[in-house]
Amino acid sequence: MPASRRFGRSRFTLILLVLASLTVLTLDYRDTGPVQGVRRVFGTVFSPFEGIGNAIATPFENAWKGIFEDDDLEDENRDLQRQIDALKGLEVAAQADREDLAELQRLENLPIAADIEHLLAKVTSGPLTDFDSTFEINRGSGDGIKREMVVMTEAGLVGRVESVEGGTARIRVITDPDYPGFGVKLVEARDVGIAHAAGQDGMVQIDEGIQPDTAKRGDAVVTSGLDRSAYPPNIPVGEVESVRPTGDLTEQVVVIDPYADLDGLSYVAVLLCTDDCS
Amino acid sequence: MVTARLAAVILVTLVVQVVAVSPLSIAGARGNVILLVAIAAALETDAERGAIAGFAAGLAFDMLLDTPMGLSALTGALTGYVVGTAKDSVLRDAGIIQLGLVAVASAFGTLLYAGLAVVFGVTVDPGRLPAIVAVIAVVNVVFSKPMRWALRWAYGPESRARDRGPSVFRS
Repeated sequence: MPASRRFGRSRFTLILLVLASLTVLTLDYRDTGPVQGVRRVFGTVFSPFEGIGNAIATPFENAWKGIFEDDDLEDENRDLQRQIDALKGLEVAAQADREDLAELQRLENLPIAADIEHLLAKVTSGPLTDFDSTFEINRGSGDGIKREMVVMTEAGLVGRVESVEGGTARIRVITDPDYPGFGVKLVEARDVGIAHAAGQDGMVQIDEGIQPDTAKRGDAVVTSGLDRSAYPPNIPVGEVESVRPTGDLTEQVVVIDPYADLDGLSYVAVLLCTDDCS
Repeated sequence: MVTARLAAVILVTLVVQVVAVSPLSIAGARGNVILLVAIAAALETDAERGAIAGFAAGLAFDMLLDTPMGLSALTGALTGYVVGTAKDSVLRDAGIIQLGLVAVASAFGTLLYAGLAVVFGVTVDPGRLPAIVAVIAVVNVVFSKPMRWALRWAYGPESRARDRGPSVFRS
């Protein structure tokens, strides 16, 4: 086939593919049934693979962090060596079980009102790309989980349910730039405002409805739990890290360092209320 | 037959992505071997087949993501087409150049995805992009050989880079 004709055909194919992509994007944007249905089936089929991948990758990821992300590497290496000498394989496994149990027991003592029902869930996989910061848990609609339910650990607020399948759900964390704003309160100043992801360094910022000069470093921040809120009051969110100007220097925002370790979650609790949890 | 073999390659790549590549965060970034399907298919065949393979692999990956569905498919199709066109126009078969093209194409595809993501309402932190681009480029260079073998098997010997036309670097 002549090169010019082949070039014309390939351009035609590309245009068709672009149009097909845009059609799928439009259908997805409009939340149509077939697209979501196909997505649910695919997600269910691949869910076990995601769990396997997470289990395999965790030791490698820990090793990477140990080598490149720790300032006191030599000290930690010595500590690790002592631990390795002291523990045998069986003891390590038993300790891991005990830690899981302790974490689950801690989750039974959540800092929320006793009448709010909650469900414990295991984190089965993390995000699949860097443009998608949700993680998956092993509980779904069959367990009573619905979209927008609040997720937390004993340390504090983690995020909320983004999507639900039969036996799994995906959680969006509070540091995700696409996470919707939520009401918070400065404990000492008694001032309330709206918090959003800060978009960097895994932080959250209060950028609406607050007097920034009432905040000072180290102040505790909790959910405000105003009427009809999906967030119960007084869930620990984090502590004030700094008060800094916005990019255009016209306003100030209060930057919060979340209490919950959002990168190293093993178990979480899902609060089983959606509309009025306050 | 080619379609079935290509589907098998995409399925295996999807499993590799989910089991081995996505869970492993290096310097806060993850690889994306799905994009490599488009790049390697374009290098093994031509722009048209690269675009089709990229579209199919991207669409399959989109079904597992929470980002808008069709975004990876669009990125894959455009990346495959651009790589196929660039290869046909200017490049030799030298191994090092091919690896360089994989790295550059991976960077291009990732930035394209980020740009399209912003257009379709996904918030992207530009500060993290350099690390993401670097990790995806390195991971794809590492996986490029096995991916090209797999796609060579999928397409069969007859479709390997036929008439490439004139080239500014070719004598």
